[in-house]
Amino acid sequence: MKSPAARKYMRRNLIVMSGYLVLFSVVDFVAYRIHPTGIVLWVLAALPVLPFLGAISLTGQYLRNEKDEYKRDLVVRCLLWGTAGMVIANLFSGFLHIFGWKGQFFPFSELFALYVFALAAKLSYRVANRVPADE
Amino acid sequence: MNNRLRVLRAERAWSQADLADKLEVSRQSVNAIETGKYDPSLPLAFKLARLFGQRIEEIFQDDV
Repeated sequence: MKSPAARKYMRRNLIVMSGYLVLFSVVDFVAYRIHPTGIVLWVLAALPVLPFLGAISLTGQYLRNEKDEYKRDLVVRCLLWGTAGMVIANLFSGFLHIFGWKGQFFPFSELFALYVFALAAKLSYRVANRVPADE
Repeated sequence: MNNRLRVLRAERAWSQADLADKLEVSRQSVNAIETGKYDPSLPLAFKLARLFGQRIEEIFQDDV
């Protein structure tokens, strides 16, 4: 069962991510129409990043508001695994390019690695810490 | 770290859910502490000590 802090976090995160979808769609449409260059290109590319800053801020708020320290600990551990996945993906791609690879991973592959690692960590903690029937 | 949480809880005929309610944490937290998978913070350890009317070191014992 989700704690009040977790429910609030999920609700707000859903709003922020919906905002991201809308913002990304608008920016994508504008970029496709005007083919921006220079500062306009930079601004347009920065706009869809803002919801992610919001999501990170929401995570910070959740960690501050979550009263259950064990759950807080698990979330931090999952986020660390996610961060590790992102760093590994980034380093791997960097080394590939240094060693002469000319290909390209799909956009946001590092972010994808973050989610995959965080989710895998969450599932493994859930299995390792499964709660038996109450006595 | 070892602890006597399960014994203390059983003496009072409390379920994990009962203890979780009294501590205002999840049952997962109580289970993780009881099984030694998670060591509680000092504030939570004090809360447990108050609840069981014992000192922290009477509930939790160092491994060494």
